[in-house]
Amino acid sequence: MNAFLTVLQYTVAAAFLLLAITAIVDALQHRERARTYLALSLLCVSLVPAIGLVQVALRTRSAALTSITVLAFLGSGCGILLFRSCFIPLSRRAVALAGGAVLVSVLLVTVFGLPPTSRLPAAYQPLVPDFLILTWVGLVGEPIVRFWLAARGRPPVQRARLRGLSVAFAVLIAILLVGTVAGNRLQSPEARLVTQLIALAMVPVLYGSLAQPGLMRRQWAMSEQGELQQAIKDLLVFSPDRETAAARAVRWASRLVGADAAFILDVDGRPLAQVGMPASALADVAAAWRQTHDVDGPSLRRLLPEPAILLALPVEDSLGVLGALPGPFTPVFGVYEVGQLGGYASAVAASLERVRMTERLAAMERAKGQFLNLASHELRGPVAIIRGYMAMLERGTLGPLNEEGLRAVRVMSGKATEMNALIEQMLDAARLEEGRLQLQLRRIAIRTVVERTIEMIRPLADEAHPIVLELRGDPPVVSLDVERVQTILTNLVDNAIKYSPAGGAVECLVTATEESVLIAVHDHGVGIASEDLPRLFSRFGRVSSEATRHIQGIGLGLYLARELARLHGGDIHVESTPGGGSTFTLELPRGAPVDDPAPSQLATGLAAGG
Amino acid sequence: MVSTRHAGLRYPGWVVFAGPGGASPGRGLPAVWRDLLPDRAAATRTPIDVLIVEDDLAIAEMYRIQLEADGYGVRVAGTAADALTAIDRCAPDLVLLDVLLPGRDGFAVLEHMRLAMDAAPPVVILSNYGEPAMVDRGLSLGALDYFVKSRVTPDLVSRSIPEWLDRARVNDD
Repeated sequence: MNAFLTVLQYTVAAAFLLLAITAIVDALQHRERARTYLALSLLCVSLVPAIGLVQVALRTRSAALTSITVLAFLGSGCGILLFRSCFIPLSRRAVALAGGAVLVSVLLVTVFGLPPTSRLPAAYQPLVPDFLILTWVGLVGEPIVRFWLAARGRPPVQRARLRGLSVAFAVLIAILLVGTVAGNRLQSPEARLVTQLIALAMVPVLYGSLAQPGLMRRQWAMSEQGELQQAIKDLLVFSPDRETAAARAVRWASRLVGADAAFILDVDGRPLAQVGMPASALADVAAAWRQTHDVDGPSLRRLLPEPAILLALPVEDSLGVLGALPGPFTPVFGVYEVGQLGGYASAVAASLERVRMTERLAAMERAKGQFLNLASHELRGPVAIIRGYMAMLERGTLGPLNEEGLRAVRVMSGKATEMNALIEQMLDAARLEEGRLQLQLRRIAIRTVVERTIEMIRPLADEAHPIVLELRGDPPVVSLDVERVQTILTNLVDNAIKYSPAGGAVECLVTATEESVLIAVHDHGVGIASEDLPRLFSRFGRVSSEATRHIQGIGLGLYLARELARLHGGDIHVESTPGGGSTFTLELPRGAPVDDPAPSQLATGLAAGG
Repeated sequence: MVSTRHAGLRYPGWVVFAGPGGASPGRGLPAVWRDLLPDRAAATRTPIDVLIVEDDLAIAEMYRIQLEADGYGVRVAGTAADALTAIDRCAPDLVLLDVLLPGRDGFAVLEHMRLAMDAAPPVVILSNYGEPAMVDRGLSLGALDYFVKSRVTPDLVSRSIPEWLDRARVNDD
């Protein structure tokens, strides 16, 4: 047991020494005040058990070694306090108090010595070591509490490191207090074994909190990774506008590096978003950026605390800035994360770019919808007059016309009707986009609708394109918007005629299945290449080829037809062989919802007539 | 929305094209055409008066020609205020009402007729706008019917007048 305890004691001493060496190497590499103080503190801590072992090995209790132990002991406390002061500067009074306590401790030890060689009366002997320990507890305890509190709200990596440091020193204090206060009762080998084991266990905790083992960092960062990825996705995909995107970006930028403040300047130098920055300071930074447009420019750097991280954001062929301003813990506890910010910045830039494009597209869509709407309403006025006078000329209300005049009027009248149909399509398209298109459903025999539509179209077709109607079985009664279905069928038949420049019959076949009514419009025209099929139903998506380039159209007909069919709960399917003709099939559900507003017969009649 | 399409073409006030009883059916048409006019119009001594409320001169003129040719007495008002004055003073048998007018719109005319007039004539709306919301509003304010101008022609409207008057009579009863 004793042998094992001895081995353990040596191990603890060696482990603390190794830890101290690691810290010293780290401090030498980075040459920073904070790291140097930490290394000093750990070196002093590691000296205490080492000297104890030397004394045991030499079986002496030399006063010199004891003094070194005391100094090392106090040194470790001072080191940790100075380390803490690098991040959160101590007040003058606190420094004076700590210095005074250390001085008194050293004086007390020097003058009176420590037990068992104390020069004090036996009753007062414990006072000196008690004061010594109290001072050390004060020096180390304050940073422990401070670090623990400061860890709140930090990024996980920083938080883990600050808390690790806090816990490890707290346990060392506990060991010391238990060891001294409990005094002789803890001199049993078992108790010492436990104490040594706990001390040993603290070594990796301390190590983890000051060095940066990649594995542990990844472990800590894991908790954040999922959230970060989600945040980047939100940023890239879901941000509704630039302000929101930028606000999310700065929040994460500051979280990533543990910065106290972060901001984004737009390409024009306007502050887009900020967190933790006074408005006046941000305005100064923005002004400096507008003057130089250089993230490394001295005029800009002068305004910011070191080491501020400024990254250029390539947006809109120009540059914005993503800035993160360090807080007290940023330099030591977030070096690795600072590197991550670079990668993050490109995601931010991409997001801002995307939002800009989306906003621009949305504005264009809106403008287009408004234009369609306005233009078609404005066109209705003139068309009403043209059609009105045409009808009056045709009927002779304005006086008799000769045969040629009458023929000309009929042609013009037909064209005006076509124009009116186009305007109605544009309006319907605009309504569709704004979600304002409502169906006026009523129950009607599909036969009636199809026959009436074909009768309306037939006069417009020439001899080369006979329209053949075939109704198979007994087509059912369905619930539909007569006017809209007429629009769909007119469009399909009209296309069949238009895209059969060489002539040929247009066959309409009406069939019914259990669920739906199918109205197939088949032509023997130029057909559609399979690669063009996906574009066929898109808005303004005209398919242009050698054979069809001369055919007029604005590319709304099929888009509108399919959208109207879908509003009915149906669809339009297409089959086509290039050169062999096409079949467009309108499918309407038999059981569509019944919503019968019972429009007046006159309205229906006029709509059909006009 | 204030339309400026026909600035300078608007009626300065309401204009009587043919006063009550002053209209001669088919005036200005050759005799052979006059004979072809509907019997009812030719035979009626006291023609049916129609008020056209329309700020677009060309449309108003077109409807006036058609309706007078069919034997109706026609007045035109270019604004809501003129329309209300005309309705008040001349008691037309039917009003063809545009919605988009300078100043107060056609709906305001309907509202005023419903609230402030005892025996208001039937109204049929003729508008460039066919949005369901506008149609619903027009009908709920008491219009007999609502049509989009580009979808109807003057002769269709003219031929529908007897049916509208019948419906209005039935509604009154």
